[in-house]
Formats: sequence, structure tokens, C-alpha cells
Amino acid sequence: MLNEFEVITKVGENVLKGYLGLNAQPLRQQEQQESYIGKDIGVIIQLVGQMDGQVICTMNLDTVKSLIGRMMGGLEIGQLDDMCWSALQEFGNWIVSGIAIELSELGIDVNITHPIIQEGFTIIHSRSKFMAVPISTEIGTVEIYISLEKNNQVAV
Amino acid sequence: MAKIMVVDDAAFMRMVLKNILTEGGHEIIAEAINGEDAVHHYLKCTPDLVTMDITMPEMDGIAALKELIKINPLVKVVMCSAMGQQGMVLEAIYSGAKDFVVKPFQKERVLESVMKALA
Ligand SMILES: [Mg+2]
Repeated sequence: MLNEFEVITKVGENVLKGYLGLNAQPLRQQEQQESYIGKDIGVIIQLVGQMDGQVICTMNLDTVKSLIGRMMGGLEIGQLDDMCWSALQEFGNWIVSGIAIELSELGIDVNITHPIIQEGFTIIHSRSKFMAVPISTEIGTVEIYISLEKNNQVAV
Repeated sequence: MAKIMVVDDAAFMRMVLKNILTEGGHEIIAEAINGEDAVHHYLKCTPDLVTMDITMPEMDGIAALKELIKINPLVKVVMCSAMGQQGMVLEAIYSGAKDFVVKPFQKERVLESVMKALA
């Protein structure tokens, strides 16, 4: 049985704690029909395959800058440039690929799309429910939204 | 020291790999942003080793790996991808990759893998 909360906390801890050395603490999970993303910047990636859905990793600007700085080996980030956007997309890629690996271990085969960056306040409308998992760290909270549905391959 | 081509659609990952490999004493002689670009550059510069991402537009890394094997059956390719599902790793190895490094990776893991492939 797929437990999205467990999958996200495992993958989130693996990247944030295991790789970036942050003190990552998953907070409560929230299920919501319509999600209001109030944070500054997000990375959106779709999952397609035996399950369809999307994952959004969202954070405030200061957290984004600190995260990218860490990914670049401890740099101080001022203005976000193209290399920073590429790094943030790659962060989303690590998280969602990690989710795809976890799903494959449950026998669910999925592929992922190219990351898209979202800036500013966003409302997500979706047929399926989104689950939000905030992960708190010393550089701020990284909030991961996930919406996954079984693909019944209904003929159009 | 080896002459290496780095293939990844993400500028950030190309920068990270370039830094790691250069610090490890290797020389980056080419960079490619997708599989097609990789095949094109390979023919021009024949590097000793190629690091290959998988998820890329136009031609993905597995297809590019197969093309490079056709050109040179002895080509040394190390896959560097976040898509580390067992099925993907096996497909890459069966297709002729020397190793598979899952992103995000530690510097030592990449250098060790490259050394192994070159040996
Ligand atoms: Mg890629």
C-alpha cells in the first residue's frame, strides 16, 4: 500500500539531511482539495506512468538562496541567475526522482517530466487531493505537495 | 588523468561534474546538453570517458549510450542520473555502461566510478 507521507519524508530526509547535511524534520501532513501555495518559489514536476500526478517543492526566497548556496558548496547567493534556476530545478529533480525510485520498489513504474519553476502566490486546482508535507530545516521550511492517482488508462 | 565529456541537460549539473572531475585531475574536453549533442561531440573529440545523464530532451541518455556503443563498442560511459530505479540501472548496464552513479552524489563516488571505468 502506498503511503505518500512516508515516501516523501524518506526522500526529503535523504536529500536534505543525507546529502545537504541539513537538520530536516518532517512536520504534520495535511490533505487538501485545493492548495494555496503562499511561498515565494516552487519547482513543479509531473509523474507519468502507472500512476499520474505532480509534485511541487516550494519555499521562501531566503530558503531558496540558502539551499542553492549549499548545493554550490557553500556560496553566498545574491541575485538568482540562470545557474541558480538550474540548481533549483535539479533539486526538484532529485526529490521527484527519489519518489519515482520509491514507487518502483512498490512495483509502480513512473517517469518524470522536466521541472518547471513557479514564482509567487499560486492556487492549485486539481481533481485529486493534494497532500502537503512541510519539512522544517535550519534554513527554513521546504514544503512538498504531492498529488498521485492510479492511471486506469481510460479510453478517451 | 583522462579526457572527459560531460553530458547533462542541466547547466548546474554540468558545472558540478566539471568541478569534481577537474579537481580530480581530469580534463573536460567537451560538454553536451542532450543525447544528440553527445553523439555529435563524441565523433569530433573522442574522449576517454563520457559521463551521461538519462533524462534529457531530444535524445535521452540510454539512447545516446546505445549510439556511442555502435560508434565505438569499447566506449567508456558512466551514467549519472537521479532516475536510479533498479530497472533503469540494469538497462544502462546491459546496454554497455560501465557504472551508474545516482544523483545527488558525493564527489568521491563520481571519482571512484570514473577511475574504475578507466582501469
Ligand atoms: Mg536531466
